[in-house]
Amino acid sequence: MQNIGIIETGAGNLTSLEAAVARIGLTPRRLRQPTLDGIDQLIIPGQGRFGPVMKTLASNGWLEVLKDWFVREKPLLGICVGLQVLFEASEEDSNIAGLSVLPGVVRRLQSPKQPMMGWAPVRFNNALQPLNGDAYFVNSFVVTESDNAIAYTDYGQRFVAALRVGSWTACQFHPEKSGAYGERLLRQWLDAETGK
Amino acid sequence: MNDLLKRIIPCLDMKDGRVVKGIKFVDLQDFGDPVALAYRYQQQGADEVVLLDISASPEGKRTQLDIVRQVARTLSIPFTVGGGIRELDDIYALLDAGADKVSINSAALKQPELIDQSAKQFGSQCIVVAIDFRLPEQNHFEVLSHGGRTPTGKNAAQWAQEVAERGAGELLLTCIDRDGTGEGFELALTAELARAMRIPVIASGGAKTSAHFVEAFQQGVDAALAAGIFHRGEVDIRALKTDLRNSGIAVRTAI
Repeated sequence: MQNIGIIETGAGNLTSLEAAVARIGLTPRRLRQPTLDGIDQLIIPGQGRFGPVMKTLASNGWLEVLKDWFVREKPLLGICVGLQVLFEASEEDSNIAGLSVLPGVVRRLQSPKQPMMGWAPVRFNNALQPLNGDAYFVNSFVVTESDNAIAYTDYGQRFVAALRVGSWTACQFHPEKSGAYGERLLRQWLDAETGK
Repeated sequence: MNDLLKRIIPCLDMKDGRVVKGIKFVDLQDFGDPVALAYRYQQQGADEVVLLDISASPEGKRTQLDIVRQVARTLSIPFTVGGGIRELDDIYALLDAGADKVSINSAALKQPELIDQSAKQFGSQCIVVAIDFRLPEQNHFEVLSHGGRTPTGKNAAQWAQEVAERGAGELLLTCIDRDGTGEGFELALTAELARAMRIPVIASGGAKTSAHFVEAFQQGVDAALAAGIFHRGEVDIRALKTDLRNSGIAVRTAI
């Protein structure tokens, strides 16, 4: 049984994410502070904005812990703003630094309607094409380009829908709100037994 | 791509914990447990679900929160909850119980600053403003309040612009004159607003056939909502999506 630590970033409701994790047979545990005993994987959930999420991570002692988690190649999934904080900075809160696991700045999405709120196709790179499907997005900011991108989506402009860095994965959409497709991706990314 | 995938939204009117449907809130017919019905629609390919509580009692309100919690644990698609929202605390309670969005109607008319405050506090993406309106008698579409019963004198197009400026993240437009008639969506106002506005617009009221949905989407609405035709099995969501695809409308593949 895999224990999934969901980092409480102080914004929004985690019920859907917990339920989605439980549905694929894994055990979710909310973590305010980095008490990582028995935790196999971490999730940075997708609610809130860049600045406040970074501030909460910093004040609850996560910054060093996450760096160490990355270096030790322990798995993590970042969702929505949880993808964005992996970068250096964001136009959403330009005075606050991100985790800087990846180079680049999160930009405002130049989309016909804002925020981007709804379903759009996710296109994975060649080798991962079986993972293509329609996912649910709620965001106004995106990363437009990254060497680590594994999937892109297009709404007004092309942007990174999913990426992979070391043993970390992140997605701009909400797999916990993306129906059976999202469940399939969560299984792929979180469940080492059946996912790979 | 300049459009997101077009959304089909079944609406569940709830009274004291049961799904009900009548014409203009009279002669209510019972359609069972909201959690089970919401789940069934998800499995049929609904892209989102709206739960509208029409019970007035405090008892009904507590039941509503319980149901929202259960729906949040059960569904893996987004859902919106509306009905009886009066103040920020009501919105907080619903979002805290797991709703993705809340829908405000009469309260927004009574105190428009509730839109500004809630958008600021919770983010525009979770604030839907519902506008009930009737067809023009003289020159403009008029906004109705209190479940479509009370004329307000307000111009629906102007009110739509105002709520968007105040921070609403989505508009739910219901034409009360079409509701339950099966004549199709009102599209003169609805589609015009959908094309003009920078926030998504949901058409509601009057759908009976796949052709009504095709027409609405071709004219630019972002999502279309219906209730009775889904509850009574007159329109099957799977078949509807096939019809939409065959008409060249891009909809979600639910796999």
